[in-house]
Amino acid sequence: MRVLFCISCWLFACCCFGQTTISGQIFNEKNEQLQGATVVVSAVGEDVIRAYAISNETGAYEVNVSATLDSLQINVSFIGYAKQTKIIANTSQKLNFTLVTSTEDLKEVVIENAPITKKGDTINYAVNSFKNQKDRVIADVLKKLPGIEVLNDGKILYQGKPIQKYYIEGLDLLEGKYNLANNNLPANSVSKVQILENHQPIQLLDSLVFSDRASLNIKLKKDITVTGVARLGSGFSPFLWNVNVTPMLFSKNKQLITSYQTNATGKNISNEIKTLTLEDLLDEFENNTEKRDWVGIVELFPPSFSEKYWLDNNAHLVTANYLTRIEKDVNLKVNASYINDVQRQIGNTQTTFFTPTDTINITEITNNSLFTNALKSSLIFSKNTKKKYLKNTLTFDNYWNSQRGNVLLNNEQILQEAEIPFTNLSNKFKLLTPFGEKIITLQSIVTYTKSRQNLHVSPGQFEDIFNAGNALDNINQRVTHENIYTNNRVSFTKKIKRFTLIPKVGFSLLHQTLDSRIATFENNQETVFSEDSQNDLQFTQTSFYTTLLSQYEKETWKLALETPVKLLLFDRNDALEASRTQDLNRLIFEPKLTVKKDLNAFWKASLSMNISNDFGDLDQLYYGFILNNYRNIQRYNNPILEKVSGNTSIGFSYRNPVSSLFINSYYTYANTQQNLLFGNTVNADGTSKFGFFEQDNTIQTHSFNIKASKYFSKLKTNITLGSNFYIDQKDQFLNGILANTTTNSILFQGKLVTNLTDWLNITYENNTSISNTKFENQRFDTITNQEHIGNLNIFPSEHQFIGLDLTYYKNNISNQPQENYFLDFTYRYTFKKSKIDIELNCRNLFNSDQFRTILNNAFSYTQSSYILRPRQVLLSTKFNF
Amino acid sequence: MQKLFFIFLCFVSFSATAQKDNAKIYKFTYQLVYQSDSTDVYSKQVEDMLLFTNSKESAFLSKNGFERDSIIQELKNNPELAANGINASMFPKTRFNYKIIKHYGKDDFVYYDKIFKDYFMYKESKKSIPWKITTETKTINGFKCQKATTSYAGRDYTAWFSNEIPITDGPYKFYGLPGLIVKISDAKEHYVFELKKKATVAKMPSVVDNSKPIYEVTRATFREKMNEYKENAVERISQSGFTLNDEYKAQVRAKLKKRNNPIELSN
Repeated sequence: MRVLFCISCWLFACCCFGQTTISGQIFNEKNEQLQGATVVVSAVGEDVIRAYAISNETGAYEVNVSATLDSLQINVSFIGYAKQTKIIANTSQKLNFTLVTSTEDLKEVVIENAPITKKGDTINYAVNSFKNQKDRVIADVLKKLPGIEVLNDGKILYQGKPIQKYYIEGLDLLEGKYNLANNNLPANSVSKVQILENHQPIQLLDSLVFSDRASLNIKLKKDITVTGVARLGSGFSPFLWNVNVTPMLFSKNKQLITSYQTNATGKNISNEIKTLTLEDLLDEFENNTEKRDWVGIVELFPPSFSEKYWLDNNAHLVTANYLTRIEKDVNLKVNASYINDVQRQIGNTQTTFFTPTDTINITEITNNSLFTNALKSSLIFSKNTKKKYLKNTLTFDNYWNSQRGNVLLNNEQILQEAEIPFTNLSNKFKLLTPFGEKIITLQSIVTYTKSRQNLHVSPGQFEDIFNAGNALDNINQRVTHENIYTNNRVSFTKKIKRFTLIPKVGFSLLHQTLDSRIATFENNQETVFSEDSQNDLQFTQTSFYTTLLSQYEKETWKLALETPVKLLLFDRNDALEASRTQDLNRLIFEPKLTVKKDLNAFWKASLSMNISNDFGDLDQLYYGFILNNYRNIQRYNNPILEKVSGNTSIGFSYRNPVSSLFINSYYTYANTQQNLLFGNTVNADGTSKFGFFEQDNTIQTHSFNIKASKYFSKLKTNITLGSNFYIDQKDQFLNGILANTTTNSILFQGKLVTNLTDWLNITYENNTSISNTKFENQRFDTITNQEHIGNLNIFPSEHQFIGLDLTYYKNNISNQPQENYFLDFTYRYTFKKSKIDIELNCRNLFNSDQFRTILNNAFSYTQSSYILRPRQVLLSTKFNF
Repeated sequence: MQKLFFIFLCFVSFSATAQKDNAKIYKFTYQLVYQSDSTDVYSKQVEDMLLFTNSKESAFLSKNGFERDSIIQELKNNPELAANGINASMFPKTRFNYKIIKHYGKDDFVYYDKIFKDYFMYKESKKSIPWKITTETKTINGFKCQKATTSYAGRDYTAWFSNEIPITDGPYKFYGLPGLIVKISDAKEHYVFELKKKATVAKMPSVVDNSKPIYEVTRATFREKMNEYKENAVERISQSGFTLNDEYKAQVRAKLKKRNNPIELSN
């Protein structure tokens, strides 16, 4: 029926209107066929196109015209040629065209709708024209500006790309942490939002290094704006709180953001001001400003899962960030924070030390309190002009940390009290300046740290060493450690054809002094033990280094060769015994070669080889005993540790995106030669002594890793399976006997993620590890650890979230399985208009009260239990003020 | 299993003969206003798109993508720039990684795109986008335009083309009209391309990176892989060696959920 209708329509069309076909070819003056020319047919004297054709590769065209008109106007045009018009009779015919070149240009594009005001690289959005009554903070308005997007976590994108700087009145107070301002600055106080396109924050590089990134600047209406945010939460068993109040102030030349936070819910508050970016972490490492604890109480081994289940805390944090503009392009920033935290640890540990001759058991029932008082501050001066980039950071940190521990050791009560203060003053300087046609980078770091630590243990330990076996009322360790460090270097980059060369030259100096003594107090009278228990050391490491990084890239090959040469000078001076003084000079070469090659579309191979040298630091270089904790005493009657490692790593990866299968594998072998052998002596009461013995020895490790993952689209499920095998072999002294130790471990990982629907997703993860240790011919019990984690997330509507997390841990050694279950429940409701969140969080619903774990190593195995946070319920809310 | 081809050599090199002395190379800039979340009119975004044509062949791609590729190329040639503070995070980003190469005289055009880190291509017939021209006319941005309509991949489009620019091309996969498409929009105005700028350039850019393998598939397979990626993005990102915390995973999911409005809705 339908077919019939179509045919009749077609017949009708043919009869009444008919069709004429005009065809032909289009050439240019040189008689070349032109492809892509347009042939349009219209009624004579009209613009409206009735039919058209595009010439094909041979320049041919064919156009069908309905036959209602008597004559037709036919226009042929092509870019670069003059348009030709012919008027022809409306009959089927062949018609060739020869186009003549023309230099006439195309018409200009005339934009009729003016965009949002744009001046040079700056785009201005007037906030008032985008804002409505519902909008409270500037983030609400930003979401609506064309080209600007605000992600759920607050990240701002301009044309799909994260903005690089968030300025308020041209000032960068918060660096990356702009959420704090963006979510709290009332829209009413903002007059304009500006997008600075192609913004290069380092002005010196502005003309040299093109930046495609945009920055955002907030222009305020008033000179002074005061605002803030608050989060309040409370719960029970025992009484719990979680408070965060963050007020702030912005003005044209001064900006201030402060915050007060406190909780007792197991949230580690120090994470709030932790260094997060990798760049800064590397800086910290290089600075040599890491806090080093020489003494301490014996802490409980923390459970391997989330600290929210076990961290028993009472924490307060105050932080302030202040910026002032001294003059154009010159800023001064002050960041300061103070943390006060009390953490408690309760649990018990049973340790069995295996020695080739004996088995020693100790039981400890532990009750620890850790007190943190830390002040961290920095003063940042930056000058950022067209001719110079200079940033100087002055840091001052001070810790007044202390610890108190009560331990019941095999029914003997031992009290430990430690004071671990630490002071750090450091300065970091970075300068980029033009030098000829290059830009040279200069970096300089100077740091000074000091720590005067004290450990008091009563009753006294190690009577055999200090008191000829007679009982001691107490024992006291004092350590004073000072550290001066400087590192200075200059670098630039040079490119020669396919090679890139990055030379770097520098010099560093680390000077440390260590002063320590062990004493006992009787009626406030200090008795210092023999010279064996004292240190008065100076240790200096000087390094002159130069390195050349050469990179080569061609097609599927990538090569990088790093060739650092270092002259290292070590000088150890012992004021107590001149014979212990040691000088060591080494010229070392540490080449590193990396080769990568794409074998084909699926396979990639990589090879990496390097030699590295390590030398012992001061913490392995003191002759006098130091009591690190009540049951561990240490001294190093040895020269400087020298370690040379050769590492080889081979990797293959397979990726097939069409079948969604990905496999990664690599094998690493490391061979380390060192001049000292590690040793350990365990006494009958469980106390131990570590030390090194002069004997050349070799450590070998092999590690093999494989991971595969595949997506099953019908099930909307991704499955990942992985495995890791690890073997190491080394020699150790235990109670004076040299023994060969082999450690094997196998790890299996599995993960399943499924997003069944938009409102439901399920994750299941499993990690299982099996390990055992062989000590000479004696094989210890195999340890199996299993961890199963399941998450169920439900989004019943846009405002609501329900989460269920179930975790199961199993630890098995000698057929004595230890098991733990945890279940958490979260419900969140968001009031969209007022932007208030209410969250109910129930943690540890099964009320698991303690975590038991078993660990082993070459010469001991430890069973420990850790008292966990009880079941808790927390109701919290978040709002702006 | 799909038949695969690995293309290490750029097979879409613009032939030298195409560039006759008198054939200028034009760069047309289109502004694309699109709505990434179909349920939220405030999710409208803007991106500039480029159409390079030598009047025989053309390349259509996003301006940011083109600039990013140019910078990466520049960095390869001149790594001093990298040492002076350029890093990958500074590169311009685009939502549209596709590149469309059209040969006006041929029946097929070629579509290139990237799914996460992998490059794909497929060929599609010009005939999949059949045009109906109407008699309606209008002047847009200074050009006399005539209206044409089509339906493609689940959307109905209205195009305004102008014979005043006698190039049979347009944004995205749209071409074949007797004149350049000055403006094209789907019925819901979720994707609107409008010509904003015209310029001439010295040479056709090479837009296909020939150093990476390109998987040749069919359009149906490509769409299937793209959907798989969207369903499984978090895991795919993890596979490439990044560790994502739960918070970030939730963000990625939320982000992808809001990007629910691709230009092609159906096969």
